[in-house]
Amino acid sequence: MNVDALLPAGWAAGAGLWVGFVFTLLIFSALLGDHLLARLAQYVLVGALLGYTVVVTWQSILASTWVAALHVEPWTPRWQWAPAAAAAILAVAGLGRILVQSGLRLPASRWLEALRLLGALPALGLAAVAAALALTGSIQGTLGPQFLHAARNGLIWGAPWAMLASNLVALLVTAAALVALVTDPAQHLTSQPAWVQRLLRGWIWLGQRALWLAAGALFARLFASRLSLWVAEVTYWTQAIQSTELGQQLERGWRLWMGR
Amino acid sequence: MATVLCPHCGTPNREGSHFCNRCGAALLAAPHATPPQQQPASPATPDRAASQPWLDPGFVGEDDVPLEEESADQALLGEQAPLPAPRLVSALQGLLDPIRVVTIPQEGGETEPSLPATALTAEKLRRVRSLMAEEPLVASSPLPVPAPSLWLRWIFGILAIGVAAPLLLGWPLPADEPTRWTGVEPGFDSIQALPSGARVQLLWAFDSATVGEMELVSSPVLRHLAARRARVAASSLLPAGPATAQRLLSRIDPERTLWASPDRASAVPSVRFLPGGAAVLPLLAAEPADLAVLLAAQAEDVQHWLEQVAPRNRVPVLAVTAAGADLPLRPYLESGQLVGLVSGFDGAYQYNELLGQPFAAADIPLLRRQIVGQSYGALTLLAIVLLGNFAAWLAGRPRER
Repeated sequence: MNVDALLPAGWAAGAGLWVGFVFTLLIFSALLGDHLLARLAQYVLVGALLGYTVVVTWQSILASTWVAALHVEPWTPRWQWAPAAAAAILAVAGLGRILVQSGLRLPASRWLEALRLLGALPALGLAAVAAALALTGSIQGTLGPQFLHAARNGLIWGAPWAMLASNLVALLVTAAALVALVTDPAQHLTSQPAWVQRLLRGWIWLGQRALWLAAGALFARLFASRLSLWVAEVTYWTQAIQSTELGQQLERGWRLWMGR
Repeated sequence: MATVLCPHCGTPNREGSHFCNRCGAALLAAPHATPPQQQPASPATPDRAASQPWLDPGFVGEDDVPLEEESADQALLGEQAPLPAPRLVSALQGLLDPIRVVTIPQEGGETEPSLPATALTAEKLRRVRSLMAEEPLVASSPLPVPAPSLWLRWIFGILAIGVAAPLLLGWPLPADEPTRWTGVEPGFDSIQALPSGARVQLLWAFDSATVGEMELVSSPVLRHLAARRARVAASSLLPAGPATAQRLLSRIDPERTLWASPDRASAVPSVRFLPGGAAVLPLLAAEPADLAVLLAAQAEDVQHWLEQVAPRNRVPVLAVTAAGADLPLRPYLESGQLVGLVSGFDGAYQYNELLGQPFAAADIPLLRRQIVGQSYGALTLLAIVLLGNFAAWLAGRPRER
């Protein structure tokens, strides 16, 4: 049955606009305090997103490629069943954990214990693959090329003095940040000669400031991205509501009040 | 500010909260805590320290390594004992150094008599949960100090006024002309050099949450790809990515010139959703391509591609990003890992000019609103930070008599 045929044309778009607007206001209202409607809006948002993700994953990956392939040729190749088995074990073990955490007392059983241990295997595999990819990726895609680029262009004799100075400062500050991270003055410096202590304390001081600055830059980036999201949201709603009849009346009233 | 303690995990929540921010337990019947100003800075209050001596920062357990005393060299140099490292630094140190966790004494020890499980009161259980939920105490880290009152409602209120007032009152733009960044022109040239029918990998790494800025900057690049008759294979790591892509692509490329012939016949352009995040990206390296175009709101998505895909297939990469992602991606542009970088309103403006299709007059007011809101919002936050620092400096000055 086509749902669109049951409703007047454009009804869904109009309803979606106002439902979205009300829910946006409800989520924003959490700034004023925790209340039931703000919670409701958050739960609906998260629930809808998770439901949408499940549907999209099923349609675009599981049903269209995996399940279809297994249905047509179940045993060629046989290894296709391995991910299915791992996913099933993980899902059942995860379900057991959720039930226990929710307060349900399951009867003690060796089977349940074995299932819990078995569920750790695919989880461990996932974590190990992710860690290995992250490590190799950061070396081959970021650290290696960036180091080579700096070594080839920035720290060679004959490079422009401004570039040379900039790269030397970058090297000094990077090393200072690393020293600040791995050195505990109370533990590592007390047995050193006084001049080494003084030098390293200065370097650590510099490294700590560099880390603070980096943390500040990260915060500023985060704030800038959230601000642009917020402004885009406000701009979208201003434009969307402006095009409705109610919005135009409000705009006329505003202009009248502002004398424009 | 008065707080209410969660009966389940002990987390302090704002007064009036219905649910715990940490564990979600209902707070309706929870006891009210004393305001933070009245609490002592140390977590080990006298009665708490008597019953739980391991919470005292000076307590040394059986397995713990005691802190070294101040050396004679330091005393001679007139140096003070090293200050505890800041929270961030000490937390990072914890990753690299063995963490000296404050140990809990064995049951039956002299400091804490063992209790049968039935004797554990609800209060003790709550404290244990609270301890288990916290990060381990690192010996070199400072004592947990109650967070200062930030007057968050005032900050959000002032920020809202800082953004809304210029939009409603039509304040002028802080800058007239967009900045021309390096990276846009090489990016344009990389698409311009594509032969007709060239294969392009498209990573769609934004969804409806960032659509305002990303559609603006993605549109001219996609129009350029369509004009060059490129054949696109699009993927997204975000569940809502395909829907966002289809909405924009059906507007920009209604004739589906961007898609290979089987896709062109379908009702909507096909954009694959690949669950699994960056872990599935290496699979895309096997697909043949002449250029990879990454439409990403976050710098991390571009970094993941450069780390997982680009070293394997050696295909040139053009990044089209939000303005916030520009700065961390500049080093990749300078090292040649990116052939071009188009970001934010400035990048979109410059790319449209290169394409010979300047912004339509109808788009200008909308863009202007976004830039005005963003600029005055950033200025407002800067003012709040400066005022806050000034107030903290005033509060910290010794009062003259």
